[in-house]
Amino acid sequence: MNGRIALLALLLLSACVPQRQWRTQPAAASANGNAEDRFSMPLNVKQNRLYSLSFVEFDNAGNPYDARQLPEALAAIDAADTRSNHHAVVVVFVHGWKNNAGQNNNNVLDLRRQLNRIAADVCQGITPAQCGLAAIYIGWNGDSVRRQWGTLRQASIYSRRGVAQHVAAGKVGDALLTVMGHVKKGNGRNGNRSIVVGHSFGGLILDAAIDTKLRQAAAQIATQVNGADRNLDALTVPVLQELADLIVLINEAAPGVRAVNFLAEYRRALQRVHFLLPPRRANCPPADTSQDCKSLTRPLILAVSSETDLATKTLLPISEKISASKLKLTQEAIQELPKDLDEKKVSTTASAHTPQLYSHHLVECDKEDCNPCLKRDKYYIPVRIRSLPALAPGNPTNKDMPLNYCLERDFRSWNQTPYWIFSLPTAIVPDHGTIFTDRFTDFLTAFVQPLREMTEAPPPPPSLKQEAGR
Amino acid sequence: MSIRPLRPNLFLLVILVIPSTYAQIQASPETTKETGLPPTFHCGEREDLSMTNRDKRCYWWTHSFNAPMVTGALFNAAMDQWVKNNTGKEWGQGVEGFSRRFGTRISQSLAKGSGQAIVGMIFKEDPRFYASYRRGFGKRLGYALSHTFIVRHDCDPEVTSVCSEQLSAGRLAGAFASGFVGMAWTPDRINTPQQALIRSGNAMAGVMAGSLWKEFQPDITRLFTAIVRRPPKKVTAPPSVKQEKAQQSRKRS
Repeated sequence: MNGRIALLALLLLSACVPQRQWRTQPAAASANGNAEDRFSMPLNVKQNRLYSLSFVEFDNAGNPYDARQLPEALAAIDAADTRSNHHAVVVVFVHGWKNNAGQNNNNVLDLRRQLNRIAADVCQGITPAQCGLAAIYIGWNGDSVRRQWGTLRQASIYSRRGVAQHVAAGKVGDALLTVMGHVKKGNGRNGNRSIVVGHSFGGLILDAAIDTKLRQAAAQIATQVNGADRNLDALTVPVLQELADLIVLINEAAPGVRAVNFLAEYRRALQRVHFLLPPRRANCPPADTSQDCKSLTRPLILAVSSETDLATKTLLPISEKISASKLKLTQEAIQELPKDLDEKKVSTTASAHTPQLYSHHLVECDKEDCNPCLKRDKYYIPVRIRSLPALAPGNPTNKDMPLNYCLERDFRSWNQTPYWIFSLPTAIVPDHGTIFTDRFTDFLTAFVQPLREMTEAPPPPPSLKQEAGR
Repeated sequence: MSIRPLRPNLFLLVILVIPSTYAQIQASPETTKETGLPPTFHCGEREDLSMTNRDKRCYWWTHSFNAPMVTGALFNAAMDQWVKNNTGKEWGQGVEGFSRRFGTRISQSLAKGSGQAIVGMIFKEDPRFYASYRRGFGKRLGYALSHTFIVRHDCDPEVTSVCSEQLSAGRLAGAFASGFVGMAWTPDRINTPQQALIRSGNAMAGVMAGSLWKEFQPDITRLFTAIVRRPPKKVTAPPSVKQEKAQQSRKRS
């Protein structure tokens, strides 16, 4: 009997994923070692790696595993800035449930593949040594059970949610803000761009990490608005300099409590402010009224979920009903709730699955003609998906096809602020995990300033000796 | 070490590295693939990726032996005693009878998964169900029913835009394996090929249910949510200062 119990215990132990730091080698110690173990993997022309990837990992209490990881990540941003002559693109990714910073982790591998595709776009026509794409992967112990143990793995949701909440309350916020602030810190670095993406429980972590800064920014805006519509340029909001150009919560696995608390407090002030992007096309003739020649709005934060993401649409409300998160709605938020929305729904449903909170609607253009959208919103955002693969979910034609959408504002919405919330069609994000695709990248590029400057005035490429020594 | 053997390597370095360093980046997925990355191990969860043999083994294991399957086997084994009671005479009631019936269900499931996996691997089948994303109930139903027997041939959706389809020898083999595996221990009275074929048919019906679920799952979930969701409670705002004063004055009067 004892033998059987021991065997069962051994079997169960074999299902466990180690809770540890995965990237253990500082650059100085491992210049000739395995790059896969390094805190920061440099650009490598020989392997056709067109980006650098740094890891900043946190333990279950939210403390960094190794304090040297963050400085190396910042150094990688500096190197990308130098390579690209101040046109670096910094992508920060906070992973979610069932992932970690492991060498063979799916999110790590998928992100790496997608980074090379992004590099091919933003650095097209320049040499790899000039390509300023730097990525930072925020790692935590989001995976506790091996993939082969499907049901047991699903059951790890509560333990991983607990860890995510601990991590969110720990030092990860400081690290994220340090990274976001570092991208444009210094002379001439205003041309650098940064995008921070939080996925699943990573969205929960990111949401919590930036909450204080968001509130500070909103408070600064609120004191200056005075009931009149303003463009952001007309206001002084220094806190925004410390945030990324685009903050994305994709398929966030957390109820919309934090978003509602924030919006209830600041939505009246925020809906008066327009965050604008410069026109996508430069030097348009005055008669040209196409969307590319207009200054369109951009989000302060973008919370989106796939309409076919079962994990956050169906399972999250069930799991929150069984064991609710600690975060509660404020009294002010309860009084401010939009029509048809009650406290119970907010505390169990993700904001991007709550239509009452939607600020926009993504509408597919009929036969690629988006002109009808102009009748509904003169300043709609065009979203162009260059190619939806023939075999991708949501493609009924069985042929590769381009997709065009207009992102229209909802003028009757409770939320008309730069905290954009809406749902995504299956064609862009088909489920909870499939986010590292060209079509999702295309979707995100609709909200950032065009990267054409990347190819202008490139610096001379560094010598091979310099490249090898870095 | 002498310098002589290194010369060809240095030459190769000059030939390979220098042009790639100074060559301009072209935005094509083929030219920008990083070398040395292992394939993503997704166990069949990622529809946008093809399945390696490791994924297929994992798919076989997680789909043949999991908690819903064990729960289903427990439920069916319990029900057999009360509803059909086919084996009641020979295996009896109680723990022993229940254990045999439960073991039979588990073996059937494992045989079904294993048969499908082995034969499917030989014929390079992608064992997953795919939704049609078509419009119209009839078309979708037709697709789901026909794709009980049809699977995709192994292909990489990232590279190719056409994946051929084929009759699924794996699923048929799995269903037959599930139906016939019990012949080794089923009581003689009901141990006939006809009964085994009926069990195979039941197994195939399970596959059909899977195919229908894949196709209609978003609609079923939506319907279920609409039924379960109750209208929100009305939030009554506290009375404003003006209203409070009016109430107080009414009370006084």
